[in-house]
This record gives sequence, structure tokens and C-alpha cells, in this order.
Amino acid sequence: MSDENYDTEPADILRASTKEQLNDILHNELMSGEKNAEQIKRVNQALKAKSGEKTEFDVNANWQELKSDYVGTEPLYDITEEFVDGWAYKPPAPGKFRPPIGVAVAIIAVIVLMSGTFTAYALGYDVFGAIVTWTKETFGSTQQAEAAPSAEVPSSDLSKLSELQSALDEYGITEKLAPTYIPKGYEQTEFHVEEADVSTFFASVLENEDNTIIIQIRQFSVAANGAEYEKDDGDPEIYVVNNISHYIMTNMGKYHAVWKNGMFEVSISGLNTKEELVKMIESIYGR
Amino acid sequence: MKRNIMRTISIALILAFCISTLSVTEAARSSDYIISRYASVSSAGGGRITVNYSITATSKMTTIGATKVEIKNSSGTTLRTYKSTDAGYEYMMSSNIAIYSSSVPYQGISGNSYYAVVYFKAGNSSGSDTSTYTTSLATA
Repeated sequence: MSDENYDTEPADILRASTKEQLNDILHNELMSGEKNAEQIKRVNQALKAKSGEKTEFDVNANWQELKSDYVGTEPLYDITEEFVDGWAYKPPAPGKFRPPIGVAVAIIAVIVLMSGTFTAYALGYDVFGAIVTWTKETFGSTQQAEAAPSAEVPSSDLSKLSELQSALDEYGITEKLAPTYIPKGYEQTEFHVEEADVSTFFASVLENEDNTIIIQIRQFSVAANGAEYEKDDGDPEIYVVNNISHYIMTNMGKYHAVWKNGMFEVSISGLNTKEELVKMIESIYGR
Repeated sequence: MKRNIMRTISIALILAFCISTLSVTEAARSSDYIISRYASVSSAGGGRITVNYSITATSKMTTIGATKVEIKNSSGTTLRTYKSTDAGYEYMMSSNIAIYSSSVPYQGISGNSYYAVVYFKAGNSSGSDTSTYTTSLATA
């Protein structure tokens, strides 16, 4: 209600009012927060009785009048400026519907709240997380999409063996010696480069939950005896790739391969299956 | 006479069985703890030699390394024995790794040849295993 005096305005007082006074009463009633339908009806009837013509309410005229009478010269918000996150407010075109200022303020408040929420999400703080479930779901699905790549462990991860290859590169070794494939789920837990007078030793230890794979590369500077390997009974199987004989054998049921490539002695040990061992060997030569 | 011949044949068969069993055991030298081992001797100049060694275990071990290194001359005579239990040589063994490399120096005589026998060990809470490696000769 715009003015409490109109609440108890009797019909005869309305009839005694001038047309301008009735227009004022109607105007104030229409712009009030809590509109009194009965009061508006009574004022309209009084106006109708005064002029003998149907009274119509001009929304645009009242909006302009309201702005000039109550809003003043400075707007509460600079609605011509662009809001954050690309949200922009376009003033309504002339002749089109203009929302009441209360609605505009409410829209602005919602926009400010939402943009603040987006910023908060960007900073890692979930404003709506504890308030609105669907918002969490919306952002949750985005988070799931972002989390998906890390949940998928690649079966062949070059980064796990990049240190070994980098070390070989640093020593100017161009021969194909280090595998590029390792079975799924292994992480490097040890890395060694040991220089001695007659040889330089490179090794990578890769572990998963219940197994260990070890890659060893020994570069000899002179002709010398190589390492000695433990093995189960039986002759090694010779697997020829790239014109190099790889000797595949087992030690306590675990597969390993040993071979010579020029002045290098290379071994891969600890594989659970021969297939995985062969796959690692073939990856050395880009197969 | 015939009984003596039969007794001799029986003893020979038993010995032959035992010897073949031993050779099979030697050939089937597999290990739950050790994958490989390596050692070499090189000259460091001025009659000094260095024994480099490394052991690779099947996985991370609580004890790993060389328990003993014997320095021998060309005739096989042991000139010096280093033990990991000796003061100052504890570093010959290590722990909580799968691969361990180290070295032992020896002051010999220039022009003489030496080789080394390295005694390796790797073990964890489940048990342990040992193995040896004999190097080639190297001239100091």
C-alpha cells in the first residue's frame, strides 16, 4: 500500500474528489507494493462517473512518471555497463515492455549472485554445493568430465621410462635399447646411472602393487664379461627381432630376456607373461 | 666274488645318481631374491685397483649387496678379504632397494694381475639368497 490514508477511503469521498485527485490515488495504488483491487475498482468507478468515459491505465506513462518522481536522476545500478562473465543488460527498446524497478533489481541481484558463484567455482569454492543439489550435479558432471582422463591409466606410458631414455640421450647413446611400452599400472620407483671404469650401468625399477619389472642396460667400454643371471632349468628361447637374438628365460616362473647389442648388454626382468615381455622387446624397435 | 661285483656296481650307481643330481641343481640356479649380479676389476693407477660390483634383486630387499669381497692374485691366492661386517665397510650392503652398486679399492703392486670374488646377498622378511661372481684378471 502506497499510502495508508487510502485504505479507508470511503466511496463518497472518492466521488467528491476531483479527476486529478482520483488519478493521483489510482497512480499511487497501482505503484504500491501491495495493491488493493477493491480500492482500484472504486477509484476507477469514481473516475468513470466523473468523466463518463472509460479510464485506462497507461503503463508507459506511469513508468516515466514514476522515474521522474521517485527514482531521481542517478540509477541505482549502471545498467548500460556490461556485467561480469559476458552477461550484459540491454535496455528495452522504446515502446517495448519495461519491467518495474523492483523486478530489475531482483534480476540484477540474481545475476550478481550467479556471477559470484561462477567466480567462486573457479576459485575452487562451491557456494551452491551445500544449498542446491542440482547445481552440484551440473558442476559435478563437469568435474567428472575433467576427472575422466586421470582415472584412465594408459597401458603404455612413455613418461614412466622417459628418465631412462633421457639418460641414454645424455650419454650420446643412439642405439635402440629402452622399451617404450610397459604393462599397465607400473610406476618407476628406482632409477640408477652408475659409472665405472669398464662399464656404465643404467637401470629402471618399475613396480605395481604385487610385481617388479627391472630394465638394465650396461654399456661396456672394453670387451668384458657381462652380468650373470639366475634362471630356471631349461634352455633359453631365442627371439630374434631387428636381427638381434633376445634370450628369453624364466627365473622362479617370472619371464626375463637378456641380449647383446654391440657393446651393450640389455635385460628386462620380472614379467608375469611372455606376451608382455615380447611386447616390451618389440616396443624398443618401434613395433 | 659275484657279491663284491654287485656291491661295487650299486655303489657306483648311487654315486652317479648323486653327482647327476648335484649338476642338475647347479644348472637350475634360480632365485626368489636375485635376478643378476656383476663385478669387474679395473686399474686406478699406481698399483691401485678398484672392484666394482652390482646386484639386482627381484624386488626391493631389506638387505642387499656384497657380504664379502676377496682380492686374489693370478695364482688364486687370497691377498685381502673385505667384509661388510668390518668397520668402515658397512657400505658394502644396503637396504630397501632393488639394485645396489658399490666398489672396494685395493692397493696392489703395479704390473701385477688381480681378480676378485664377490659374495652377494639379497633378502627380505621371507628369506634370503646368496650368489658369487668371479671377475676377470686385471693388471694394476
